[in-house]
Amino acid sequence: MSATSRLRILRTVRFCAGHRYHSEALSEEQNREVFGACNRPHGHGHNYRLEVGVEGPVDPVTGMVINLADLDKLLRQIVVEKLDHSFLNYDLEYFTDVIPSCENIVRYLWSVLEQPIAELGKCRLSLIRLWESEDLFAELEREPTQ
Amino acid sequence: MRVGRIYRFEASHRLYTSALAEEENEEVYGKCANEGGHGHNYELVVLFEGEPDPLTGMLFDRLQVDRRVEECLISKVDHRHLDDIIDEVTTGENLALVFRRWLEQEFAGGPQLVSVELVETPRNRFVAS
Repeated sequence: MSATSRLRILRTVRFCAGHRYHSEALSEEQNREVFGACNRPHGHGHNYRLEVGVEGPVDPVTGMVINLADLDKLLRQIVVEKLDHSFLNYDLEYFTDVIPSCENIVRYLWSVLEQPIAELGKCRLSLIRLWESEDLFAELEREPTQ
Repeated sequence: MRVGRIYRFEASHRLYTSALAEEENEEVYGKCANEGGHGHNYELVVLFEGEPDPLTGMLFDRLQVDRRVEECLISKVDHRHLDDIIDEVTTGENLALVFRRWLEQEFAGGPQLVSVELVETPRNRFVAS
């Protein structure tokens, strides 16, 4: 390991949000059949736990990949303030025609976090892992560069 | 995209092999070789990979996969003595490999299995990928 080694750090944030699984492409009956309890008309919610992985070289002066205060500020603005105590289907435009499944929320979070994290320095987003409950998570990981 | 589903079961086992003398078993496995065995609250992290179905937004139907894992694995090991079911020494390593084999067979037609992680205690995790 050298001073320029790449390293990944993981930061965790939490938010509580509601959602409903429902597709306009399906009839009411088909929606109930495919999504079961997740299709109930007024939705349900989760205590989401989000792990954000950021990788990059360790700065030889600060000893850090990224200043955690900067990352926290960004996560607060982009994730917590927008998603916490929201109903994802109605409160986020992204989910107008996209079911806010754990998988699709991960895609959304990747799309809104990638650029702002890259702008913080030499680091980049490398992992988004979203825990919907203690029994289920979805994740997207950046392919390792050759 | 990967999606991990977590399952739990409770079972007993004893680390012991007839290939070794009593004394050697004790030496190798320590208190895990105690004659009456002991138990754990096991956790199993089953990881799948693929693209979510554009219609449902999901990589797989949770309830259907739960049912299949319950049938092919959990129902066979929950509240059992693992040494009665598995021919090899029931170390975390061997259990993870056996469970991976069972799940690979069950999900041969999809969704794509990536790895099986057995959590024996918070300090001992075994990943078969």
